[in-house]
Amino acid sequence: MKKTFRNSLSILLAACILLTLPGCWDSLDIETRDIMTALIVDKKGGECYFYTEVANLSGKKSQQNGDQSKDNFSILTSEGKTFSEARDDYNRKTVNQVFLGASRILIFTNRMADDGIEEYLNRLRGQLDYRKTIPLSTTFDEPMDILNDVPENSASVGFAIEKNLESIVKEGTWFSMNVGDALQVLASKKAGFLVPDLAVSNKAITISGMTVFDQNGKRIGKISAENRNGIVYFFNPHAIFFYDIRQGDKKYTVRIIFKKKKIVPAYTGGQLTLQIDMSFNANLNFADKLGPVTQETQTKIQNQLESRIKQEIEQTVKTSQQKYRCDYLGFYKYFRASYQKEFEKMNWQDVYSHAQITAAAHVNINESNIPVES
Amino acid sequence: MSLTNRQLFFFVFLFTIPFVTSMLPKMMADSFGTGAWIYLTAASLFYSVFAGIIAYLGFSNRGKTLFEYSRPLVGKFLTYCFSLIYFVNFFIYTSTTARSMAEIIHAEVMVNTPRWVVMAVTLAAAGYAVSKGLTNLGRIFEIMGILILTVSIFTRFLTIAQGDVLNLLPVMDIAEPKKYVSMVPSSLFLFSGFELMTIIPFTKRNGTKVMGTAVFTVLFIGFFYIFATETTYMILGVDDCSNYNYPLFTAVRRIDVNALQFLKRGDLIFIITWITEAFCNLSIILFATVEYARKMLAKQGSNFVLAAIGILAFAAGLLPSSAAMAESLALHTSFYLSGFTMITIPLIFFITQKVKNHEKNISEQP
Amino acid sequence: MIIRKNPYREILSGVEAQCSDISKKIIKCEFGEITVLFIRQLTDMELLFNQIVKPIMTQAGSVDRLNADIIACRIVSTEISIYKMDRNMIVENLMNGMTVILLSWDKNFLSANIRSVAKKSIDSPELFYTIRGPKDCFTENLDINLSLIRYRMKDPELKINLLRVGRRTKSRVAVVYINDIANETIVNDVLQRINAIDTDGIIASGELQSFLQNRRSVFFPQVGLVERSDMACTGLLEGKIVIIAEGSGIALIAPKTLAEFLWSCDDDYDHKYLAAFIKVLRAFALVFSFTLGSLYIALTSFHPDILPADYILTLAKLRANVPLNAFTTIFLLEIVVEILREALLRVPRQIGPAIGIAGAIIIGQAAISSHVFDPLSLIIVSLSFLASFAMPDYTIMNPFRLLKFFLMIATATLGLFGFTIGFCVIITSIVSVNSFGVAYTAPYAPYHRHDALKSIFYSKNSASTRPAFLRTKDHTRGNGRK
Repeated sequence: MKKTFRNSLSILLAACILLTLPGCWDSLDIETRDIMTALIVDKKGGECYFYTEVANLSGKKSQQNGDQSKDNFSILTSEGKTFSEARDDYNRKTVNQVFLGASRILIFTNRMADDGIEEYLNRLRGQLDYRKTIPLSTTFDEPMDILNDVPENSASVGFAIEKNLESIVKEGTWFSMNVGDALQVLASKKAGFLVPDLAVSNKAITISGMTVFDQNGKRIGKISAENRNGIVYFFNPHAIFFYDIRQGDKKYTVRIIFKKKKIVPAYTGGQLTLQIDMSFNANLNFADKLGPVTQETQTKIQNQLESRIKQEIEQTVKTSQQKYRCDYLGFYKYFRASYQKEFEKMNWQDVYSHAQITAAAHVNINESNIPVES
Repeated sequence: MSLTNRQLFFFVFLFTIPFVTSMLPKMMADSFGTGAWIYLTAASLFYSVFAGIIAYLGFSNRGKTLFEYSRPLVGKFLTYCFSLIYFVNFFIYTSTTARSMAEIIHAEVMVNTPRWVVMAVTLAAAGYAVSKGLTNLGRIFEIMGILILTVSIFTRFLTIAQGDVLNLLPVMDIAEPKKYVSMVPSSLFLFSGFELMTIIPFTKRNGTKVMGTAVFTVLFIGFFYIFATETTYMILGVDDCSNYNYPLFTAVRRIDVNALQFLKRGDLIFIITWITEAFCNLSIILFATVEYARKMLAKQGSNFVLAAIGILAFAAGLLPSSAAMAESLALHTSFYLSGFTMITIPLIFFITQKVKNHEKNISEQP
Repeated sequence: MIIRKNPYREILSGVEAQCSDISKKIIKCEFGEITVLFIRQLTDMELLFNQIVKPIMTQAGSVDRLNADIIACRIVSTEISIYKMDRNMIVENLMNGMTVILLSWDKNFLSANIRSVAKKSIDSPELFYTIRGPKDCFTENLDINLSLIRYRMKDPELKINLLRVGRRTKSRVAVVYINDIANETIVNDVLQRINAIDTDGIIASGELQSFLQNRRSVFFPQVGLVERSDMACTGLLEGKIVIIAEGSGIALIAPKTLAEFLWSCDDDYDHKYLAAFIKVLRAFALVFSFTLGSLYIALTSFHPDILPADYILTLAKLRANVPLNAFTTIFLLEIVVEILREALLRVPRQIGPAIGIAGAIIIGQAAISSHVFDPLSLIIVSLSFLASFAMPDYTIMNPFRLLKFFLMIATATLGLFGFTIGFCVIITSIVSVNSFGVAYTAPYAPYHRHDALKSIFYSKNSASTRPAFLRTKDHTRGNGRK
C-alpha cells in the first residue's frame, strides 16, 4: 500500500514537473529584445507620439561600425490617438519585444507638458520593468532634434543626458527629479514639482532651466538656469555654488557649500508663516589680485554672502508664491508634519500663496585658499 | 520531535512576515497614515500576552501538543472541536497563502507564468519540506531565517539611506489617539502565527525561557512591521503608498545605490529573499495543517495525509476568482476563526489549567 | 618409528585441488610428517626457510616430544598461533597469507605470520596536498596505515577493532577510535553497519562507504575521506571514528558534517584569521559553483531589468549573434566541462597539459569567434568549474555537480522563482541528512554558538572543548597555554 502510494505520488510529481517544463512563460533572452534607452513623449494635434532611441545589437549598422559607433542606436517613432494606441503602433513596428528596463531618460515636450503628464506617469506605475528611478525632463525643442544630436563623447542620447544630470547633481549645482519623485508629489494632490528642461544649443544638449508643474501635472511656467541657486538649496543636500564678491578693489571668488536647512512653519488665525534658516560653509577660493585677506574683509565678505543668499531664497519663494501660486519647493511636507489636520482641510495653494516668509542665511567662512592676515 | 527556542522564534516569525509586510504599508497608509507605528506597537504588546499564554500551556504540558493536553482538561469532544477549528483555520490559511503568494509573484516577478504553476510548485516544495519532519523544519528555518533577517534588515537600511525622513512626519495624529488602540483587535491577521505553538511539543531543553521567547517573537514581529512600514513610507510617502497593491516591492525597486555596482538595484537579493520567506511561510502553515489532521485521524507521520491536504489546498486555492477575493477570504478567516485560535481557546485552556492546578494543590494538602 | 595415518590427508588433497597456487614443504621426522603449506606470492620465502623450515628440520630430531605447542614455543621464532584442526580455518589462514604447519600426529595446527605482500612505499598525498602539513599518506597496506596512526597516537585508549568484510575477499577493516572520547552510540552504529555488510567482497573504501551511508540520503556523503595520517589523528582527537579498509589507500572518517567538508587540516596549521577567510571563501566557492550558471540564466532570460542599464547593454551586445538561448548555452558548456573533467582524469600524463591547452584555449577561442557561445557564458562556466575544486574533500562536490543541472532546469522554466524554490529544496535535502545521528548542518543548525564561532575562528590554543554535536564522552581538550 505504502509502495503504491509512493509510486502514485512520484508519478503525480513527475507529471506536474513535465507540465511545467514546456512553460518558460516569462523566458525571453535580453539580446532578442529591443532595448530602449531614451523616450520622448509628445502630443500634437490631439495625437500622442512616442520617439524612442533603441539599441542596435545585431543589425547591419552595428556590424559595420563596431561597438563604439554612434550608429549602434536607432530612432523609432509611433503615434496614436491615445497612449495605448501609440504603444500598439510601436509594438507593430518593432522587430522584437521592447524592453524598458534600460531606459535612461524620460522627456516630455512642452506640448505634452502643457496638456499634463499625470496620465502618462500613472501608466508607468503599472509597468514593472520601467524603473521609477530614471530622470524626468522636458524640452521645448523638437524630439528628433534631441535624438539626432548625439554628443561627441557618447553613443547614446539617453546615456549622455542621464550622465550629464548625474554629474551636475553630484557637483552640487543641480537637483535630481525622477519619475518616482514626481509620482509621490502628484499623489499628494497639494503641491507641484520642478523638472529640468533640455535644449539643443550649439549642437549640444544642455540643461537650460526648469519647468514648473502644478499639482495636476500640467506645465505652468519655466525658470531659467541662472535663477536656480535658491531652488537647488532646497533640494540638494550637497549643493555647492561659486559666488563672486567685490570687496574693496578685489574680486573674491567664494565656494559656498550647503550645510543644513531648517524650515519652521507656524499657523495662527489662518495665516501661515514660514521661517527658513539655511547654514553654509564657505571657502575663500581665490581673488583676482594677489595678497592676503584681513579678518575684517573676511567678515564683510561673509555678510555680503549672507545677504545675497537670503535675497536668492526670498526671491525663489516669492516666485513660487506670487508668479506660479504653486508650492514646488516642498513646504507642504513641513507644514503637514506639524499641522496635519489643518493641512488636510485647507486649500494649500491659497494659503501658501499668502504665507509670510522670513529667510535667513548663515555663512561661515571656515576655509581659505587666500592667506588670512591675523 | 522538538524545537529549540531559537528555532521556535524563526517558526513563529516566518509564519506571517512575507505576505503581511508586502501589503502592510498600503493597509497602514489607508487606515493610520504615519501614526501606524503606534497601532502596531499596541497590537504587538496585546498579542504578546496571548503568545506567552500559549507558550505557558506548552511548557506546563511538556512533550504534548494541544491535542494531547486538552483531553484531560476539556474532554474528548471539545478536544476534537477545538482541533477542528485549528485545522480549518490553518487549512484556509494554507490555500489563501498559496494563492496570495502566486498573485504577488504574478504581479511583481513572473508576469506571464500561470498562477496554478506557481501554487503547484511552491506547495510541492513545501510538502517536501514538511515530509522531513518538525526537527528538520526547525533546522531549515534556523538557516534560512538568519539569511532572511540579514538581507531584510540590509534592504531596509538601504531604503532608509535613499528615503526622506520628512515622509514619516507627523509621528501621530494627535487629534485621534484612541483610534490606534481601539482598532487593535482587528489586527488578528497581522499577528496570527503564534498559535502554531499549539502543535509544537516543548521539552525540558526549552525550559522556562520558551515563554520569554514567545513574547519576544511577537514583539519583534511588531518591530519588524514598523520597520517595514516606515521605511516604505520614507521612499514612497504615505499618499503614494495607497496607489500600489504591494508597496514594499515598489519601494525596493526605487533603490539605486551606485556604490553596489551590479547589485545597484536592490531587486535581486530582495526577490530571492522574499520567495524564500514565502516558501518557509507555506511550509510552516502546511505543517500545522497536516499535524492537526494527522492527530485527529491518528495517522502520525503519514505522508498520505500530507499529499491529500496539499492537493486539497491547491484546489481550494484555485477557487477564489481574484487576488482581492483570496485576500478578503484570508482576512475574514482571521477575523472569525483566528480570534478563537489565538485568544479564546488558549484563554479557556489557561483558565482550565489554572483551576485544575489549584484543585490539585488543594487535594494534595494534608 | 610409528607411522600413523595423516589425519590431514583428505584436507590436504582437497585444498590442493581447490587452490593450485598453494605450495607445500614436507618434513619427515620420527613423530610423523610435518607439512608446511604456504602461498608463495604472499610469503617471505627467506623467513619461511630460516625461521620455520630450518629450525624444525634441525631441532625436530633432538626433542623427546614434538607437538604444536613445542614448535610454537621453542622452535619457531616468528608470530605464531595454534588452532584446532578445521578445514575452513586452514583455508582461511592460507588465503590470508599465513603459513600453515600441519603435524600428522597432532589435532592442532599452527599458523605463522610471515606474510610479505607487495606494497607501495609511503608516498606524498595526491588528494589532500598540503604545503605546511605532514606529507605521509596511507597506502594499500592496512598494517602500514595502522602504524602511521599508532606512531602519532601513543594513547593506550586508542582502540583498533579489526573486522572481516566480504564473503570471498574477507577483507580486513579496521575501525579506529579513542575509547574514552568517541561517543559509544556512534561507535556501535558504525560497527553494526560494518558487521551487517553481506557481500562478495570489498575492494576499496569507496565500496565500504556506500554500505555505511543511510539509504535515504545517499546523495550527500556522510563520511569523509582521509588520505593523511595527521588528518586521521586530528579526527580521532575530536572524537571521530576512522575506518580503514585493507587494500585502499583512502580511509573514511565518520561522522562528518557539511561544514567539515569545507575545512582542511591545513587551516589548523595556519594563522586563524587567514584560515577563517579561506573557510568563508570556500563556502562562497561551493555556492558559486552550483548557482552561478543558474543566476546567469535567470538574469539573461527572465529578469534583465535587475541589472544596471550599462550591464544590460553590455550583456546584450555580447550575446548579440549567439543563436542559442542562455539555458542551452550554459547547459552545453557544463556538459563539455564535465567531459573535460573526465578526460583529464584519464588522459596520460605526457599529453595531459597539451590536451588542456588544446581543449580549453583553442576550442574556447574558436567557440567565441564563431559566435556559437558568448564570452560571458564561458567565463561563468569556467569560474563555476574552478570553484568546484576549492573544496578540500572533493566528494562533497559530487552531489552539487548534479544539483547544478537540476537548478539550471528549474531556473530555465520558472526564472528567479524556480531558482529560489530549487535552492530551498536543496537546502531542505541537505538539512534532513544526518551522519550517524549527527545533524549534517551542525553546528549551524541546530545552532551552537561556541562551536559555530570556533568552526570559523579555530586555533588550538583557544579550543578547550570538543564540538558539542559529536556528544563525546570527554568534552575537554586542555587549557591551551598554561
